[in-house]
Amino acid sequence: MNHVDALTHEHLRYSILSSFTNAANLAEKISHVCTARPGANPEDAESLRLCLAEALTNIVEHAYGGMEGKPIHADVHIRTNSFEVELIDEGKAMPGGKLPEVSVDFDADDFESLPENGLGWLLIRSEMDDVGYERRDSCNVLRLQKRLS
Amino acid sequence: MRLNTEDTGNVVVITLGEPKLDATLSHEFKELATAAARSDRNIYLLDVSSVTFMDSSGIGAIVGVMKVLGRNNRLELCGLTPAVRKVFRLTRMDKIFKLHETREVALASHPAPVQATGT
Repeated sequence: MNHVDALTHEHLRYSILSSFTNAANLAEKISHVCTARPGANPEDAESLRLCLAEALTNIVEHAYGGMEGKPIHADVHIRTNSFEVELIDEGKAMPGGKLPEVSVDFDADDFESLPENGLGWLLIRSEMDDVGYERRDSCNVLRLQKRLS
Repeated sequence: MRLNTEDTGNVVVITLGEPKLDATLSHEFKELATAAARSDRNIYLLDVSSVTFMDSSGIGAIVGVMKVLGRNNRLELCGLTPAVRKVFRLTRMDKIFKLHETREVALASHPAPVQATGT
């Protein structure tokens, strides 16, 4: 399987300048490209778009503190049985240099405890098969992998 | 942003006429929906049947509107597409909000109050 996988490996690179609109458009574009192939599952496209939108929005909002016009790159690896996207930015490192813990502790009866933020990582962790983060050459590198159903 | 408000008598229906509710629209949505929710009614129904993509910013904005409405009012949703329903399930917000299949079903569950006839 790995042999076949290596033969059909396709690598694409996209670059955008940080903004919420560019982030949303890039998420949609990559999910289209990845799932345009025959036999691709529409649910995988939805998952990918959602997680890329979450991750790219986080970069704009947190790594770049809402600043527009900063570089974001996406390295997309399309394989027979997986999609892998590496998102690279030059913004602030993740707090503690690691992926945030996912916690959605809320009390359904306690109105004010309901979260308005922080649900994005929960979605990414739920929908992706592998998520990795590292600091590389003063850049953030976030890797999202989805195995295909 | 296309956002339509209709008072049916005892329920205010807020219909979002956009294909998505994400970080590009969530702030505007929260502002407009909060303004639409300033009425004497206690029950608000958000119709999201046109929305095929929603991310956590969209969910956060809806939670924000509910907090503004406060404990004495209800915010329910109807017309969730499969993708939107999935996001509600994954974030466990399906436990917080009453989700109706359609606007008709939702409105039928809130019949106009009948005048008490006494005993």
